Amino acid sequence: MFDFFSFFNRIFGGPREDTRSAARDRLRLVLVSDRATVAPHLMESLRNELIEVISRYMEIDTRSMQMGLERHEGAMALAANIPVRSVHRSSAEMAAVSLSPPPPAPHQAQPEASGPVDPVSSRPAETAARLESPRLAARRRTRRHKRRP
Amino acid sequence: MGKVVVITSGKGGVGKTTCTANLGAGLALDGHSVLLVDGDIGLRNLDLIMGLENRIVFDLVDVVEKKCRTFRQALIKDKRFENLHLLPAAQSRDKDAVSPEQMQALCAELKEAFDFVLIDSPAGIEHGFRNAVAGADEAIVVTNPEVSAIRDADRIVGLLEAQEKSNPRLVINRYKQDMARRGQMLSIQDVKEILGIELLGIVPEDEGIVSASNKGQPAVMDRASRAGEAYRQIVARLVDPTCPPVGMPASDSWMDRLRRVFTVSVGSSGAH
Ligand SMILES: Nc1ncnc2c1ncn2[C@@H]1O[C@H](COP(=O)(O)OP(=O)(O)OP(=O)(O)O)[C@@H](O)[C@H]1O
Ligand SMILES: [Mg+2]
Repeated sequence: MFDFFSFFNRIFGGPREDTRSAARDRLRLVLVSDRATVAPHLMESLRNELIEVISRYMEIDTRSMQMGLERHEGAMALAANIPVRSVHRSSAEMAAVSLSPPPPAPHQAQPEASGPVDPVSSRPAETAARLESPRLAARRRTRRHKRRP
Repeated sequence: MGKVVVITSGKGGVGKTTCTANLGAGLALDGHSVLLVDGDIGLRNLDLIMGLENRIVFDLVDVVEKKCRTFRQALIKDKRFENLHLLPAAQSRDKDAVSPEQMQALCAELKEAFDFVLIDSPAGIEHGFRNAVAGADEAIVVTNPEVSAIRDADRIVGLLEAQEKSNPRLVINRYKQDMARRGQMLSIQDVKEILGIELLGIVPEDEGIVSASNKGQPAVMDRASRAGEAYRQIVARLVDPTCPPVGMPASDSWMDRLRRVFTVSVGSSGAH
């Protein structure tokens, strides 16, 4: 929309800087870190809860873990550096099957009823495989195709 | 039973005392019984802004320390209104002369006797602030549309929420519409979004506030005052929460000024 007033001001009031957006953006950033640092327990309890959640999936080195707010090109980021010692194999598998799988694509073959069955979910292994990284899933399919003829 | 409303800000000098005086006078004009409590112990000011500085005998600390028989003995009645009283702050005492527990007990007693008890909080987040909010049912946070005032207001909102004074409401004071229009000041929307609390009112920058303070006559008593009009709107919203949402303050362009000159000379008594 044509802003008559800013036009008028540009003509008669000389060039003026827009300081409003600077104020708004700087305030937004400073309030993120203010709110986080003002409450002494906030970062501490966030850290503890993060450790609890992550430890369900992997063994991490909590002592050399680092976490904090960092400024990143005009935005605040919660940055965490968490050394991972190992990933629990069983929980990784559980995580994979507990996610609801996408509906099967029409061109894909339905999993055979007699096919291998995933021990954890008792769902056909094909379902679990689809939730693997695309590369892993593709590798598994080619293996099976080789076997088939 | 009435309610206790604290007017607070974090940053100093944003207009808490002016706001307390105007809302008090406005509520009294609207027919409510009002008590103004100056919570700024050691830096008494509300008496001066209200024009009641010459009649102080007892003060808030005397009441808490039971140096007078009842709190009523310390109240100054405002002769201009039927139902407006002031409980002044002690000038020669320290903020720790009163504890939050004592304030809580006092407020419980005061709101039995008045429709509205307005507490003018000192600046800061220390003892004086904790005293002022201790007995409050509701809080009004005053800010200016400037970065430092807003940052401090955010801190105050956090502290109020932590003390379960939920839903504090915001008054943006000294709003300069032409500056905002030129992109040189935060807009109302910006401030609202950043603080994320309900907006109770917008008071424009108005030189009349200084003359009003000079006279000890809150601007809300002057029908021609722009800031006064803003305070009247806030009063209406305090009394009736279903009141329409906050409107923009009257514009101060030369056209509007011209228009005001005419309407004032026709209809109002308080013109200057
Ligand atoms: N809307 C306004 N327009 C112009 N001047 C104003 C406005 N509101 C307040 N002022 C001026 O700002 C100054 C500070 O106001 P006031 O004393 O009410 O602030 P305060 O928040 O109570 O300060 P303190 O933190 O010291 O108690 C006064 O000089 C007052 O006249
Ligand atoms: Mg004050």
